[in-house]
Amino acid sequence: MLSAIVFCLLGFVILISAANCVSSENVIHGAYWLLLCAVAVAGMTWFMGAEYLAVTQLLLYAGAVSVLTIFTVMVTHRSHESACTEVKLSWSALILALAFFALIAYGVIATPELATLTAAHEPIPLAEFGAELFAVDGHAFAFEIASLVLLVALVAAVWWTKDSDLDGERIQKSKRKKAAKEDNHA
Amino acid sequence: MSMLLQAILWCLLLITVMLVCGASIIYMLRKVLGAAHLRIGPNTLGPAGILQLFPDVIKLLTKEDRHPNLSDKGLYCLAPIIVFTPMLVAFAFIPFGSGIVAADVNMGVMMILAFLTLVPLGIFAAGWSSHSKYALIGAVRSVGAAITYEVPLLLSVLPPIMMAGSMNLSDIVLTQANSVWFIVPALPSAIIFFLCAQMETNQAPFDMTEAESELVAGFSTEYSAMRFGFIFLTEFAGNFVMAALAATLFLGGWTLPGVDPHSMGIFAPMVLVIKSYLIIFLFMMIRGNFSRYRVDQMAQLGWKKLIPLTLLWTMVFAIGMRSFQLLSASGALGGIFGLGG
Repeated sequence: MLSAIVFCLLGFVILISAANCVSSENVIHGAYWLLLCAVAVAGMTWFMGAEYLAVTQLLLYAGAVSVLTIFTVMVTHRSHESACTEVKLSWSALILALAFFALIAYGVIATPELATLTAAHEPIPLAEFGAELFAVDGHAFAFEIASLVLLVALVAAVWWTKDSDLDGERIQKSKRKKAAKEDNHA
Repeated sequence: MSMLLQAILWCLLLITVMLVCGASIIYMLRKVLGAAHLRIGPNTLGPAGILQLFPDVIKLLTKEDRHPNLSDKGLYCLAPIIVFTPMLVAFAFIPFGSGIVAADVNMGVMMILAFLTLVPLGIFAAGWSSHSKYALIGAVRSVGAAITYEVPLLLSVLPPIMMAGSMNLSDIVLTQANSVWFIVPALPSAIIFFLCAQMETNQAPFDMTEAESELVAGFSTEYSAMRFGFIFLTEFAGNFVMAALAATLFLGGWTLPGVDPHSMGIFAPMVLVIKSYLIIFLFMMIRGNFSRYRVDQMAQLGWKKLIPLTLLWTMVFAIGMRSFQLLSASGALGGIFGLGG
């Protein structure tokens, strides 16, 4: 009962913060919504008994990725106002998101063992965990690929903030236009 | 329900410990820095000025809670909480004695460090949302410092983890009780950890985020009343967390050499606290005696010196430890220490 409540609460936080992260005009706000999302995901994985995954999530996504994002934003943006960029909606992004969702959903449906999977009650010793992770037929490759995440975060942060001055001008121009229109009405 | 009650009691206890630590460290800082600067420090209220803290707290509680007009309201109010919460959580993982730990988890070391990585983000939120140039410069410096010290800090805790074969802080303490304090075989790691801990807690000579001679009070310039109190308290509680972590990882935690760890009883927390305060004293002496680094100097220290050095040392240490284990297993050294998981 308690676990169901916590699960729903965390899931709710994850969804809300993810939606806000994508839709907020202010880049810094977006970064902090991303932070909240990452912390909530870490909480969820911790709650499911995957301690190592939760700590990695907290350390890499919540800590490192957020810091890198904010650092990149601060290096590229100097003033408070220009941290705002217009939110652009595009069909290609929607298709990409739906394709990713379909992939994940297919993965979940195609693995019926997930439904019967329960959390480990006994914590796994560190040495055993490491041996399993880096075994010859283990997950070393996936582990190394996952380490690219910081590079991806850095590139994404640079992309996120590119052309920001133009966007800022555009927003201000549209705001000015709107204000002028209202003045005319008055 | 009893689990919930236990959790609530632990939370209250930890908040109390955090408040007491913060208060005592503030008093200690005034006295130690005073002595280092050849002045007396607080001396009027109570014996040796020990009651000075109460008017300070009353002042913080009764001041006006002001918001700068152009500040980013939401983040401005949230920032002290983002700074405070991870620090409070970090207290939960420190073992104060045999079984006296709020959260005895498998990943204790990493959990503390993971939560502490969130503190610079709170500091950044505070500085950015204040809409003040001083605060913003302090905030950017804080994030820049975070990417400087985070990697060597994480690498420098690896040798104790390797020797104990576990990330559980209680296990690390007990392994040291049964062999030697980890500062003996891993002295370079201890020194690097100490340096990075000073950067982590924004201590002089690495306190560029709130360099008062150039930035007023850095990221916390625009804060007043209890919001400032939270930031202030977190800073000093952070000193204790890092010092206690250093004592736990390298100085045997709550145990003493030659004393059976299970007969320590009520003295265990006292031993840890005394060790931590000795480390804090060292922090303060460095704070009082060294001049502040520049931002670029600190970045160079981190990226060009500490990261390569820790990587190299960790590799050397791992090879050394493994060959030592193999040698003692084959009987060549007689198995003096019995380290390893």
